[in-house]
Amino acid sequence: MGDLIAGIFATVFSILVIIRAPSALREAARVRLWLAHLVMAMVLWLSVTAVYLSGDALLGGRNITNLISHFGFYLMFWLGGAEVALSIGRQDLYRVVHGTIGALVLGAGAAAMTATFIAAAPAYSAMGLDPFRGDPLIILYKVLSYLYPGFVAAVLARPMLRASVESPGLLGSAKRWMAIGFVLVPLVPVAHLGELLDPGYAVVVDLVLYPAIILVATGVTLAFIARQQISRAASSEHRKQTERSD
Amino acid sequence: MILTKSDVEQWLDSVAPGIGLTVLSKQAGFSRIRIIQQLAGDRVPVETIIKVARVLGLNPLDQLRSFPDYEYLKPSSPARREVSAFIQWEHLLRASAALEFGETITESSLGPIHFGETSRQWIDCIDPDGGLRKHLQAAGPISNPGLSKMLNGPLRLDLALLAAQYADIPTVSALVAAHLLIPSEAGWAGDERVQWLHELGRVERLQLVETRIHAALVREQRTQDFINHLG
Repeated sequence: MGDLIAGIFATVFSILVIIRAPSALREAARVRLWLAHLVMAMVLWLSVTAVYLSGDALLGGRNITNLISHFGFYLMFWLGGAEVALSIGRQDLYRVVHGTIGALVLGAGAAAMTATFIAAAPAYSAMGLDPFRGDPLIILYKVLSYLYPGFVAAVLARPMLRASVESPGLLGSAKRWMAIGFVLVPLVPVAHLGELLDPGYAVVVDLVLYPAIILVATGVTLAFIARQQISRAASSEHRKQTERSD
Repeated sequence: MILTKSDVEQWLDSVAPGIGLTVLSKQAGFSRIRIIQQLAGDRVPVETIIKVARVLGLNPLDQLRSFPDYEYLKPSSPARREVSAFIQWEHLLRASAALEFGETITESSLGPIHFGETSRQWIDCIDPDGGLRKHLQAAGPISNPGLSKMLNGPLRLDLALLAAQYADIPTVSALVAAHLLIPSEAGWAGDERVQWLHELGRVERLQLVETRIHAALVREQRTQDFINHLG
């Protein structure tokens, strides 16, 4: 990810973490989503070369930071996927992404991802492991790092799209943006697999991953704005009623 | 649903001789460019005729009927089963309570004719056998998500006409449902909704209130779920 784009995304998510902090402190129900934002901000900051290299130097310069970043991605989908499923009233999907099946996919994916990372043993600190992309193990590691996120996104994309057509206004738009973003996520590991055939597919990864992040982030932000609007409308109505009764 | 340039020009010559498009379009509330583009493309929507007829002080339905494709439209009262679609649940609830207490209800107390759920309610109300949505998808043609999305706003006229034909209700109601004609222009009585509510049996009325409250509850629950978890 280009440093500039990563930096912009990281800044945006850091701001969202700060904005959402008060509601997370007030309501325990909002902690999971806030943590997902926090983890996403951290993952994005680790996508900035200077931050990555500094962090990795502290951890021995063997790209442990990359592994942490991918674990962060898993964690973000574990936290965020549950909230997205519940946001459309789908307890069944919540059980899929956050229950036994989800835990199995997450556990197996994380274990396989770690095993391939250890087996590949990238020799020196390198942002995005780019110098090692000729190694099939590194490509496999990258594919596995999107296994659980791809699974969660694949489960949620269609129901979210269906929910979007039934919701008018800003809520419908929020769901639509998120749904389209989710459609793109499972394509990321497929694009990584393409790198085994031709290294040029690395560009496809960026073409899919960036829009996916933008779309999902926009959807979540629209949901946040919709909530503010609804709260404002409710308090204005309450004020009017109080004035009338006075 | 689309009228040709020659038909529209002939009509304009007869109803607005000597009045330029600039004046007409300005009074009708759209740009001159828009009507010129519609004429140039030989695709003038019904909405344009209705808006121009209104600014000329003419009855929009009569003017629409002067076009061969719309001769079949006749002013008519709505079918009994479609009237409830044009009352928002909060107003229905209030009116039902008023009737229970023996209070008077008026047309204005029943709120606006068009609101967010009008199209969805209209389709559900007139559906004679549960097959209307499938019919619209096939005959429209329109996808299931496309139709669902459209039911959040004004219904497309071609779909509204197809629905009215399928449901065997007065075709002119389709123009009301499509938000093109106001009820009085379609031939409805001034207090159509009030009359209908008075004629409705108590059980029927309470069942309707129950159905509408349930639908409102589902909508509210969906909104709350979404903003509680992602907002």
